[in-house]
Amino acid sequence: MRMALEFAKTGPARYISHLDLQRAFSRAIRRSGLPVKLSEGFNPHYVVSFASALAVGMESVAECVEMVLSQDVALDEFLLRIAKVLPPGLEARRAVRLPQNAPKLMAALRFAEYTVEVNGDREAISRAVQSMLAETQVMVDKTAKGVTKRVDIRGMIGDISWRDDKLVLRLASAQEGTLRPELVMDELCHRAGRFSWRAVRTALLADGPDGPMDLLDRCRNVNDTGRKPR
Amino acid sequence: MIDTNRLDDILSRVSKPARYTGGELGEIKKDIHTGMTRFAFCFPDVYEVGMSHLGTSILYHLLNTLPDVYAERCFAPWPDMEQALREAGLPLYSLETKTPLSEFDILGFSLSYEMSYTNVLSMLALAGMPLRAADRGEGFPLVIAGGGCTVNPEPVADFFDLFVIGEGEEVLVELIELYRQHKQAGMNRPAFLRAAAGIEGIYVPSLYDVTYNADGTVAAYTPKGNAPAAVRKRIVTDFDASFYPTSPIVPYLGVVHDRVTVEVMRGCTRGCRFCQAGFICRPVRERSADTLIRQAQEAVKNTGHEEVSMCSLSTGDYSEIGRLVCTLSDAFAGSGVSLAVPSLRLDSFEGEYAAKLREVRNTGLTFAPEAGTQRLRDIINKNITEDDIFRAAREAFEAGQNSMKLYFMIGLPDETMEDVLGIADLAARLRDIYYQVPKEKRGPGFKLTVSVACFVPKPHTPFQWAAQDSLEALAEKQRRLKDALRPVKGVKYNYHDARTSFLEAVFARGDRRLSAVLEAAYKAGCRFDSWLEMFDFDKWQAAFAAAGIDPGFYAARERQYSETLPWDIIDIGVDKSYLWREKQRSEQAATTPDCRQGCTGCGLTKAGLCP
Repeated sequence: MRMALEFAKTGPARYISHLDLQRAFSRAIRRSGLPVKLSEGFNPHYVVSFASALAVGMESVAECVEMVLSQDVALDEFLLRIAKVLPPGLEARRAVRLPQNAPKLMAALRFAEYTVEVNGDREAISRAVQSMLAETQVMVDKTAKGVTKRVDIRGMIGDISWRDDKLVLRLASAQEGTLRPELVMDELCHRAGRFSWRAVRTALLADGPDGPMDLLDRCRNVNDTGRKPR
Repeated sequence: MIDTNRLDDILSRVSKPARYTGGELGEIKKDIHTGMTRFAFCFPDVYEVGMSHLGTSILYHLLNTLPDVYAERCFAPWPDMEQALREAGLPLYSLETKTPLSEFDILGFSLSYEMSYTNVLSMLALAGMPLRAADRGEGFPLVIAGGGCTVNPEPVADFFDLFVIGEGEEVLVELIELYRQHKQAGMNRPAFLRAAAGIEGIYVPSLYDVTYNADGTVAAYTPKGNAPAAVRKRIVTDFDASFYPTSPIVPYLGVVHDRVTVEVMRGCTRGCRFCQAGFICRPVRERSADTLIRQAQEAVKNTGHEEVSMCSLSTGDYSEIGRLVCTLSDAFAGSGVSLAVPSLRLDSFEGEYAAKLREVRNTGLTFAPEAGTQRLRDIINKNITEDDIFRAAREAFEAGQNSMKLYFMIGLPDETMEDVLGIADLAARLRDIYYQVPKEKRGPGFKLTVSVACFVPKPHTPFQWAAQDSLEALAEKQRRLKDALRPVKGVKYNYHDARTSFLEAVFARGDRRLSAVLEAAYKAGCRFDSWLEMFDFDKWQAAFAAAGIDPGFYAARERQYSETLPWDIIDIGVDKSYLWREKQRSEQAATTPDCRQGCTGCGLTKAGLCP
């Protein structure tokens, strides 16, 4: 029985690293008493796998994790029991059952969506967004492990648009490559003049029949479409 | 409350920000009302170390059961965070409510190792407080300390208003009640301190005048007013019924001891002469297996931890160890919860639980023979024979193990080079035993880890009068041992930096004049001195020079029986004459039996602390 959970990671919990998050889930599961399967081997542990790692310090209202149950539990009971035991800052939002043949969440994930509060000249930012989307190549500096490289991020930007007075970035988040929102925001700051901003991850998306769609909905309905996503 | 926007700004830049946020499962949140006594537990090391400290966890949750007390936590910030706080102009704050430390009623420091002392000073400074108690007026929090190091609080006496000696569960509650009464009546700090000195287990250093002889030794402690001539340690009388937190905080960060720890026993009856805990934690008191089983199960249910550790100074001596381990291992079967039983002694297990105990212990074979020859083991009263070690090793190899870990010390009293090289001899013979076991039985590839620490003579032990080996002598012993171990294939040799042990020896047996050295070292930038990457011996040497103090006076000097020792002001219940007798017995390599086999007259019974 495969079960997926959408949860929020906010407040001080945004400073928890990915490794610490795994441990926090493992302990929450033990507290819940839910029949989650343990791994085989000398040190049995609960196997939970996350759709995507979230950068330390970033808040999210749409993280996804999946696990395997050794016996069936009703969806709302599962959600209730896990919600009751999650530590402060982690909040269970939605549970879905995954069909046996659904891909791993991690494999189906294509985009992450970030909603960004901006504190700057909206006109200038809009112009910067339009110019960026109009270009076929957007070169920025990317620093990883102390080495700075010039990279083209245009191909990893799905879309940038306004929703009310916030920017919504749809950025690649897949095994082939992941674009962190600060690279895009830094480039926008560069083009529009420095402004402060604060991003929250608001959705994880998979490829659907009519374009990107909610990751859990996609994986839940894999049977209905008769083919695996992607 | 500090400016949390500025804090967020900092947290996104420092390493491991989860050290500084609080908000874990099990953290205590309270509504703050007037008349509440606000207490901050201050641990002078990083979060991951402090959150592994059982004593702090017990006291934190115990104080928070009191409706008019709110206890919070604070840990030493790593240097990157220290710098970030300074740059942002933010004071050190509590994790629970982000309150600046200077706004608390009481700051309670946990002193469990000497090399954390400079962190105490950096925490006080980051709180915006004068370092010395004498320089802090009524407006500042009361600064107190407890923990193992307070059996000789003198090197840090100038920084604290008072010390809690011994086990804190009862005396801390009494102290806070007294504080509340005085605060209600309009606090007068000196009057409060005089009253506090009347509580057994409370040491107020400012109530004593210390004079010194021309040779630098202590002449006398002269109490002012009604302060006692020596402060007797406190113990919990009914340990089985004493408070244990079954809903401890569950850290997000991986901490050093990341598990449920149940405390099976306090004290140890073995009487190893080098072991300070063995003397200061007397007498032995056990918790019943039924209590422990209930506590372990409740704590696992509340925390979801994957490991339960059974902690004490010598868990193998616990009278119900078999029933305890077997009941818990059955209870946790199939739930992914494992048991850890550290401090099991070599003596082999017998009876109905033997098989299960071996199974649980299977996680690793660790022995602490402490010395390389029987003669030296007799001198230190470590009552383990080579036969014990060899039998246990053979059994383990025959059961398919291939690795083993041994702990030793060098620099023990009366040690010769022959004793040091005996460690290599022991390693070689263990290797022979491994190869005597048939190939199909033993695990592949012999692996032996030999960890060698430098002996630090500690207060309130029979070796409290002893001189520590010089740095040169220790280095020579380390080198010779390394050479002797080189031909023994499969051995990994770990040894400690002797310079750290040297400083530990200075501050373990120091007096009040050392506070000047600590202040100088702090000002020179010494922090986290127990962390290898942070330790800077040159800065320490400069600090001693600046304070005009010779560290050798404390570390390398043999004391006379007649000398007044700085820690004589603390009475742990064991007679000084008993310790001297034990020292003399050690000189004849005469062993003293486990006091479970008959009272050896250490003085605890006379003190009314042991039945």
